[in-house]
Amino acid sequence: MFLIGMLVGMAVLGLVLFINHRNIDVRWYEWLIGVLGFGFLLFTIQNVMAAAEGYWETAPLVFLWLFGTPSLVLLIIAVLLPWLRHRGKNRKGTVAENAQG
Amino acid sequence: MNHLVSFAFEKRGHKAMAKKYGKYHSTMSRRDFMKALGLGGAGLGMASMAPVVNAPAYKDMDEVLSSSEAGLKRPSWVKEVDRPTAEIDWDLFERFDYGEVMFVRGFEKAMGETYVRWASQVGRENTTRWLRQGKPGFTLRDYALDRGTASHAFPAASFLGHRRSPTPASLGVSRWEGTPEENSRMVRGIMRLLGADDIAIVELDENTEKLFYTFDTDGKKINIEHVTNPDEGEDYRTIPKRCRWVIVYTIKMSYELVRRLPSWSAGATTYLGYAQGPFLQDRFQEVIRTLGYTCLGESRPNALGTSTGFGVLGGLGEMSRIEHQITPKRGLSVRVFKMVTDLPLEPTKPINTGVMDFCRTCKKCAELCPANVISSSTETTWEVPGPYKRPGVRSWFKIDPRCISYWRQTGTACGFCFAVCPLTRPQSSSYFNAMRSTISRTTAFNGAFRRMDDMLGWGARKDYESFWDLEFPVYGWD
Ligand code: SF4
Ligand code: SF4
Repeated sequence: MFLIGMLVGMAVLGLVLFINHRNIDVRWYEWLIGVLGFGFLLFTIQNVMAAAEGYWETAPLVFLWLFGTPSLVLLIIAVLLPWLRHRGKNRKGTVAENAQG
Repeated sequence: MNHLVSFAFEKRGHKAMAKKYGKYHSTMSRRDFMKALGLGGAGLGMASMAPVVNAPAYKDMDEVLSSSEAGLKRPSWVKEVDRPTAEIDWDLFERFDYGEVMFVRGFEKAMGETYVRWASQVGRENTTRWLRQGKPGFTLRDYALDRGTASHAFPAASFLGHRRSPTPASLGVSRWEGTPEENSRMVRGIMRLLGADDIAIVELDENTEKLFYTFDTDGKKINIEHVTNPDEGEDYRTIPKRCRWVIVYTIKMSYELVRRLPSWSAGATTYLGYAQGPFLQDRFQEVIRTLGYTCLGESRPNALGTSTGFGVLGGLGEMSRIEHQITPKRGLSVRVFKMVTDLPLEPTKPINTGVMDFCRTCKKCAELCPANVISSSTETTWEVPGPYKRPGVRSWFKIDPRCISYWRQTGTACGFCFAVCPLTRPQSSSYFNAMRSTISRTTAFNGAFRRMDDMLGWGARKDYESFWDLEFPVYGWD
């Protein structure tokens, strides 16, 4: 419990520091999508582990497919949206600088 | 992700599967990780993770009383109710002669002597053939485990107790006095220490007394009378009216073995469960005696009264389509026992966890029962199928003679209905807990959960030979 809490806390702290450092603008709904995706990811891992512990062959794969896929999609969206915006902003800045120069 | 799967297989000694999924090494134990994820996920709606049950260790009685093991611990989605979800008509419901059930006269009465002889003969022939063929799950080593555990499944226990421990009178002290709440906590603590999983208490009145048989498993008449002391003779047992509390409790079975039923090797979990009840009872009766009270027990498992009836009334579980109680923590994967005492206890209430509503939709056991004896009707009924059932409970009923005929012919105690039941799955999965939590609140997703169970491939497994590659926890209690 403590260890997982630590790991999750460290990951979140690292993410926030990274976002601040790079000056990336993340909207509230992107945070929400990210949290949902992360929740699904934990749920998937837990169930895959539990099913595998019980020697079920199909169940881990079904859990992976059923909960792992949406988790992945949500996490990709949560990363992609701010990243694309950030890239767009940087490009605009560069174009403007070039125009001035 | 394959690595995670492989890790779990490898840790449990399932080498073939571990190989299939590759290799993985970790310094953190799997159980720690599972626990951590379950608890860590609480805030994410995965709150109802399974408690991992370890043997409690107490230093003194105060510790027993204050222990959290001593309280009635149930998942948060278990609702207490005033009446059980299976309706009971107490005017119709009467005491019942155990002699009518299949294991005494019922089978022969329903099918006739010739049929019974024929079914046993088929069973013997099948046994010999399967042993010679080395049929998976029915080889000599499977049979050895089955017979080894079956031969001690019903150790002689005592109705009155062995009475070896001292009494307060012999010690020159007055008897233990506590409030019903304190006594209940103490009883739970002691019983958990002795191996019980869940414990419920039913207070006897003119209705609940009807759950006792008129004639016990060995044919002795059971009297409930205004007498000072309990008594037992050649052909009777007497329960004094002052013994007002029935303690009904479960002993765990192994999930991994339950889902391998009806193979011979998996039958061991049934027999081990039966053997552990008397182990607990012998000791518990002595404890209660030294406290200065009476504790009457089953002369063998399933004796005295109906385990399902007492369990359902005390809230150990809920009635299901197969007429067994489905418990919140372990589904059908338990054996149930009972004792009667005059130590004042706090009764527990029946529960509603949506089991009967789920059974209405599910019907998996009815579809898959190899003898086709489980009712597949959506609605419950007051109609009983034969004299081997007593009227007064609105439920589903199995055609017991055909079920027992299947047992005889296969030389097993079957139990396939336990294996396939979607409510008998290990609680280590947060999905399963979320499912139980949801079905206790709404019926809207029952059909989807049943389909999901099929999709997950949970439940019975037929690769019986893989049993011998497994590494089991103690008693197979997973
Ligand atoms: S024990 Fe076997 S035969 Fe009997 S009801 Fe269950 S599945 Fe059917
Ligand atoms: S298999 Fe389905 S219908 Fe049968 S007892 Fe279990 S939940 Fe009820």
